[in-house]
Amino acid sequence: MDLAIETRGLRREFGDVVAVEGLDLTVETGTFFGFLGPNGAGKSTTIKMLTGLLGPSSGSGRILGHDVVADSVAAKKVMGVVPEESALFERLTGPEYLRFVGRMYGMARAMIDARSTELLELMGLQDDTRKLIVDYSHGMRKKLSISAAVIHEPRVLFLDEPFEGIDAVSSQLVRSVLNQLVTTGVTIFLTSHILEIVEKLCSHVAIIHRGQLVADGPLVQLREGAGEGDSETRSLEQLFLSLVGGDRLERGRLSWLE
Amino acid sequence: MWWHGLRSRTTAADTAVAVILAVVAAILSGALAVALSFITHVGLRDGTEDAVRVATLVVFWMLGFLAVVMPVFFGFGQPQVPLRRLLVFPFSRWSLYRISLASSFVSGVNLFWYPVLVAVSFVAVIVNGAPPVYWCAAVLVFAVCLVVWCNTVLIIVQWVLRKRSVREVVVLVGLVLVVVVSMLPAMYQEEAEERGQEWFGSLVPKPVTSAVVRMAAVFPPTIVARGLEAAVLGEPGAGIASLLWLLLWTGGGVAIGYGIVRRNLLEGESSAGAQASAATRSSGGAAGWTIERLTILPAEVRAVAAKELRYLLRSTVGKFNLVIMPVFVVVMAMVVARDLDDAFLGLDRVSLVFVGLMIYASMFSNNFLFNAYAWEGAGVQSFFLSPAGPERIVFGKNVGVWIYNTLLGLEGAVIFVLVSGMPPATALLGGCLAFVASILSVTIVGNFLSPVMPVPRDISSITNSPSQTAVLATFGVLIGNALVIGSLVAVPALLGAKWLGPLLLVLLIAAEIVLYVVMLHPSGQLLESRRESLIETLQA
Repeated sequence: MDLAIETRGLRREFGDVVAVEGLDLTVETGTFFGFLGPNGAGKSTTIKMLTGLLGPSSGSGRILGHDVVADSVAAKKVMGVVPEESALFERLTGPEYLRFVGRMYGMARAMIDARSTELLELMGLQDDTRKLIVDYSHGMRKKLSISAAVIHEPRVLFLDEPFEGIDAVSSQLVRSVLNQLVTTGVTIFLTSHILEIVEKLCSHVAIIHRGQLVADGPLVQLREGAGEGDSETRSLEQLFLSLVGGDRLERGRLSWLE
Repeated sequence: MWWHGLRSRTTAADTAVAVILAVVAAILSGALAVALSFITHVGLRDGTEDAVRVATLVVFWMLGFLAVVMPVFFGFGQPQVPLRRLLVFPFSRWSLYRISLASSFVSGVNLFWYPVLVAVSFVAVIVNGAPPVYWCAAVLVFAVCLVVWCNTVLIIVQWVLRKRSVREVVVLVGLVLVVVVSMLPAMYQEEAEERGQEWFGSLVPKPVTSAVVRMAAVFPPTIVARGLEAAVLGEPGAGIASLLWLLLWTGGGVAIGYGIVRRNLLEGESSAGAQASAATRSSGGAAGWTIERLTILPAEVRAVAAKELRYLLRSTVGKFNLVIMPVFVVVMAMVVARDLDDAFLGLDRVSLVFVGLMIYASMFSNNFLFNAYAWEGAGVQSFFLSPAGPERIVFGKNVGVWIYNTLLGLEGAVIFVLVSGMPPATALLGGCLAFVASILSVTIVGNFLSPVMPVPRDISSITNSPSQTAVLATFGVLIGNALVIGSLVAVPALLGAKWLGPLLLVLLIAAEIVLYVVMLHPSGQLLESRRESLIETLQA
């Protein structure tokens, strides 16, 4: 099967700090891939390197065969991105921003308008089309970011904490859309702190800890290797805690409250 | 300004320039200290009532102007400490106000005039034998009073600016007043000469003049000057009264400043944000439609240009430029042009003013080109996430600014023609070509400067704090433009070959276009290489 995402020895340093250390990762096309890790593990840095916001210190990354550094324009053409923090032009309205994104991907104006209308209605933003993004709530911004990421039919979709700040109804709608995208062959690379969502959506999972990959594979296989008990009843949370929780879990109390 | 630059420096070059500007500021401060000390010395040595009065009034009004007005004029426009950011800490409003006031005592603009006050006092007390105790007490209270009012004025400015629905009106009225007042002497003098003193007298009647003088008497500079004059002339009673008045002014400044901090400045954030959007919502809607018609350009370039034009038309300064342009043209055409000789630099009066106007109009967008990413915020990531090459992003942003500036130039030219009549064909052509040549040169430099020294800017504010290097580069390009473009217009006219000017300008523009195209790729590569620092700076 073709590879949608491939990294070889991907590494990024910030001064003396190594955020991502020699990451070797492969994601097959059409996979719903969950990329997990505790805060500061290197998830967002990895996504930023793969999407062109950060340059790798060494190593390489490929999106559908396009090198993210040497052939960045071709790589960006096939991907959509929802960054962790808002990357919107705040003095545009929602439809204006979607039109901007669509035009950057060379879409025809009529198609942009038709898809924008549908996306804004789906996300419940249709009544705020004259409002500037600066006046949007956090959840509204997230929903607009998701709309902008999918408007041009990307083949690979990077989602960095896409459900953060989104209400339950919108979250369910977004999940439906993401599942629909996967059925059409789109590869989704998702990071989320909500392990239940990852468990429901993703078929494959990788866990990164202190910049290094500590687990990678189909979710079912990872569950089987997670410890004692029935693999069906073992949750992703147990697996995650066993891999990255360490001795911190034992220190879950404040001394001055005892 | 140099102090602000040191605190917000982003590069080694900026630091070096900030240090140079600090040295220049120190030299200026020293020169001012010498000048005002000399005036003080002359006045006190003379010893007559008039001489002492004139000397003290000049010295203390100058210091008052430096301390209270300069921070606003030079675009600091905000208290030294951003009080809003301290709201998360358990400080009372009174503590926040005191923090703001304390920071004012060590602000750059005050460090500029403290030495002047010390030098003047040294000359007055040590050299000329002024009463030391009273002089030092009065000067100390005066200095505290100035710092308090400097802080209060900045708080008032911030408060007014936060009321964004009235901001543009307030700023516009303020600027028009400054322009008109600065032009009044020339206007009155000319009209008085033409129509006789009666007309002048009827325009500025005596009661108004005396009212202005009476008003000035209640301000701190006059109070301290009168007090020192009384002390020097041996009337201590009047001096003590002056001190009390100064203390009253100081208390008043504290009360007003604290009152605004307590009641207005730190409250209603959400409503202020809503007002800001309401002010910007309706404008810029036609930008996309306009640029969509330019099908000769690639889609990505049109997208970036439309975004840029929308931002410009939604920014306070962008709208302000469009509003102030007619005022500026009328002042240029009706006031400045009157003082020019008919044939200056080989051009008739209308031609000269038109060409000058067009060159000046081209400069309205300098800030947008020298600090092109100032308003992007976190949105700058959208550029780097998109599949457009960096050259196309740079080009698209340039196109947006060019369209905006062309609107400004057209507005100015049309109003000029309505007010002054049609200039000769060579001047009309020369003015328009000079406009294009000037913008192109600024664009070429700006494309390299913008990604290297980005300084975030509030789109709702008219003030701007570019990097120090950008300030120097701006001056350099402006001087270069004035010399080159001015020469290409004036020299042929002086030689009697006015047709040659437009021809030379066409050649200059052709050369600039070639240079622009050649430089587009390196400037795009520079943008790409500065991606991470640009995101980091603008997202902060």
